[in-house]
Amino acid sequence: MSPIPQKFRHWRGRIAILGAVCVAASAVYVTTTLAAPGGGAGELLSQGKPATSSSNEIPQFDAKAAVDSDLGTRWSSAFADPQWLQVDLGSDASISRVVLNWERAYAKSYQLQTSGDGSGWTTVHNATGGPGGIESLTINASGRYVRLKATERSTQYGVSLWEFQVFGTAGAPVPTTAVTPTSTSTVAPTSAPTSTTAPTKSSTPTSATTAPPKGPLVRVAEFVAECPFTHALPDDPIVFPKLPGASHLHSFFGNETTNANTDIESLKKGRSTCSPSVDISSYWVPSLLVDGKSVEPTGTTFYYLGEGVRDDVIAQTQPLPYGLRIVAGNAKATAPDDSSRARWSCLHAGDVGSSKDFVNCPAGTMLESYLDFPQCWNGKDLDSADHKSHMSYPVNGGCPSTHPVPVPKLRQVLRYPASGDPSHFKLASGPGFTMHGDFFNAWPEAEMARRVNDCIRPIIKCGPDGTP
Amino acid sequence: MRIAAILVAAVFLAGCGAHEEHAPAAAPAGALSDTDRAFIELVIPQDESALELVTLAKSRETSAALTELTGKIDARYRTELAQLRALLAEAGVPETAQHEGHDMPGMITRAELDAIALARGTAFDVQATQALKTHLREVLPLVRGEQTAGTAEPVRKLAADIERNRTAHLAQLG
Repeated sequence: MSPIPQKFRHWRGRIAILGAVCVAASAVYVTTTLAAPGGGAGELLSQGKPATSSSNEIPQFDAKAAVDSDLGTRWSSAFADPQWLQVDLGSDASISRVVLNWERAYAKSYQLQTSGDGSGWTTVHNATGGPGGIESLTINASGRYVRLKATERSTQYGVSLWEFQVFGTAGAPVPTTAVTPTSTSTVAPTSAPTSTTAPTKSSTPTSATTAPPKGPLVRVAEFVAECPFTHALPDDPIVFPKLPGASHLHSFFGNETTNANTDIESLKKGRSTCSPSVDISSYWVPSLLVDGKSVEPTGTTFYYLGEGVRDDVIAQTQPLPYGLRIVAGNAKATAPDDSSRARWSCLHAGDVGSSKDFVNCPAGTMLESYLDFPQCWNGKDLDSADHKSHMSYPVNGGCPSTHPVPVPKLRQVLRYPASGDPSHFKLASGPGFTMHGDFFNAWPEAEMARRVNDCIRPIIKCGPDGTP
Repeated sequence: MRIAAILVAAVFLAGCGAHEEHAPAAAPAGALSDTDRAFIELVIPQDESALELVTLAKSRETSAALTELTGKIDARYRTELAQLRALLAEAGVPETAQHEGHDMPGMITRAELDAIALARGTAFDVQATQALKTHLREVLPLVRGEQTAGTAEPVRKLAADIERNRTAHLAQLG
C-alpha cells in the first residue's frame, strides 16, 4: 500500500462521488439478473464470489467490495499502475458480458483476461482510451477466473470499481481443491502479484461462495427518508407563493398539505407520508407525463448525505436550517447540454447509462431520476430571488467563502413505472432536461440535528430512524 | 483548522439570528412581496412568448379577426413589459429570467412556435388562434392570485388591468 497520508486518503475517498449517484441505488440494483442487450442473455455469475486484487488503497476498499452487490461500497487500488482485480466464479463458465461500474477514478487502458486455473491468462478484451462510467462489454470467452488488469489510470489516484459483474452461463461446479493454483505459476507475462499477496482481511480468500456478512457500521455519511407521492397540483409555494394555478403541474411528496399557500407554519400542522413520519418536509418535482397522462414515481427516496466535501468539512456539517427552501436542477434548461444536475437512468439496467434527457429503459426496468441539491449555505437566507443563489455546490471539496456553511446534501431518487421509447415522455415543465426539484425543509430541528450529529459528521450510514 | 471551525460556527450562529428578516415587514415604497415578484417574473416571459407569435403572424396573411387581435396584443404587451420591468427596477430587484426554457402556464413554447410556423394558410390561423386562446386562458389564475395575495398596490392594479384585457381578448376570439 502506498504511503499516502491519512488525511489525503480521506479526501480522496470523499470526493470520489460522481459514481456514487449509484450509492442510492444499492438496495435494488444488484440482485437482479440482467439480460444482455440484443440477445446473448446470461446470468450474473460473479457477485458474492471470492475476489482478490493486486492492492487495496485502504482495507475497507478491498476486492470483495466490487462483487458484493452493494453500490455503496467499492474496490480502490493503490496509487500506481498496473493493478488488477479478479474473481473466482467457482467453476468453468462461458462468459458473454462483463460490466465495469467505475468510480470516478477509472482505468483508461485495461485488459480483461480469463483463466481456467488462475495462473495462465488469456486476454479476451483490450481497451485503450476507455470512457469510465459504466462500461458494458460483450465478450465471448470461457474460464473460471476473470481478471481486470488496469494498465493506465485516469487520475493520479488508483483505480476504483463500484461493482465488477461477469455474466454468462455457469458450468458444473468444480471442487475448489482440484484447481487451487500451485506455486509453480512463476512467470506468467502478466505477472502481477498472485492472489495470496492481496491484503484481504480474511485470511483465506478461497472457497467462500456467498457475500461476506456486512460489518455493523457502514462508513457512509447518510440518513434517509422515504416519502411516497401525496398529490399533484399546478402550484409551487417557493417559486409562486400564494399564486394557486400559476405553475405547471407538480407532483408532491412528504407533507400532505402542500399547496401554493404553504409556509413553514402550515407545514408544521400537516401530516407526512415520509418514513420517518417526523419528516414533515415537502418535496416536489414537475409531473412526468407519459402520452400526456401523469405517471407518479413509486420509488421516492430522499437521501441526506455528507459526501461531496472533504471529511474534515463533513465533520463540521450543520443541520439544514428550519424553513430552508431550495430549488435544484436547471431552471433555465434550454438544451440537454446545459448545466443541469438532474440525471435520468434505468433501474435494473445500469448499462443504459445516465443522461440529462430521458433514456430508453428496457422493458421490465424503471425510468429513474437522480438529483443532487447544493450543500453549501450562505449562512443567512432561507431563500433567495432565484431560489438558488443562497446555496452553492461545493468547490474543491469544501464550501466557498460566499457560502461557508456545509449542510447535508439532499439527493432525490425517483423511480417511475415507465420504460421504453422516451418520445412518449414529457415533463410538465418541458423536455426531460428541465427536471428540477423543490425542497421546503420542515424537519423538526432536534431530529435534523440528531441525524447530522449521529450519522453525517461521524460518517455513519443510518436508516429512516436516524440510527445505523 | 480550529479557527476555521470557529468562523464557520460564528457565521452559522449569525445565520440563525437572521431568520427574523423573513417576517413580513412594513413595505417601503416600491417594495415587492415574494408573490408580487413571482407574478412579475412570470408575466414577462408570458408576454414575450405571445409577442413572438405576434411577430410570426405579422409575416403572414392572416384573417381580419386575427390581424386585428395580434395588432392589439402587440401594442398592449410592449407597454405591459415596460411597466413590469419598471416595477422591478423601482424595487431594486433584478430580473432573474428563471423560467427561461421551461413550459410554464401562459407561455407559448419554442416547440409550439416552431410547429405553428410550419402551418400555411387557414391552418396557420387556426393554430395561432388556438395558441393565443390557451395563452389568454392560462394567464387568468395568475392575475387573480396576484389580486388576492399580492401586496404592492401598483402590481395588484396591473394584475386587474391584465385580467380585464385577457378576458376581453378571449371574448373577441369567441
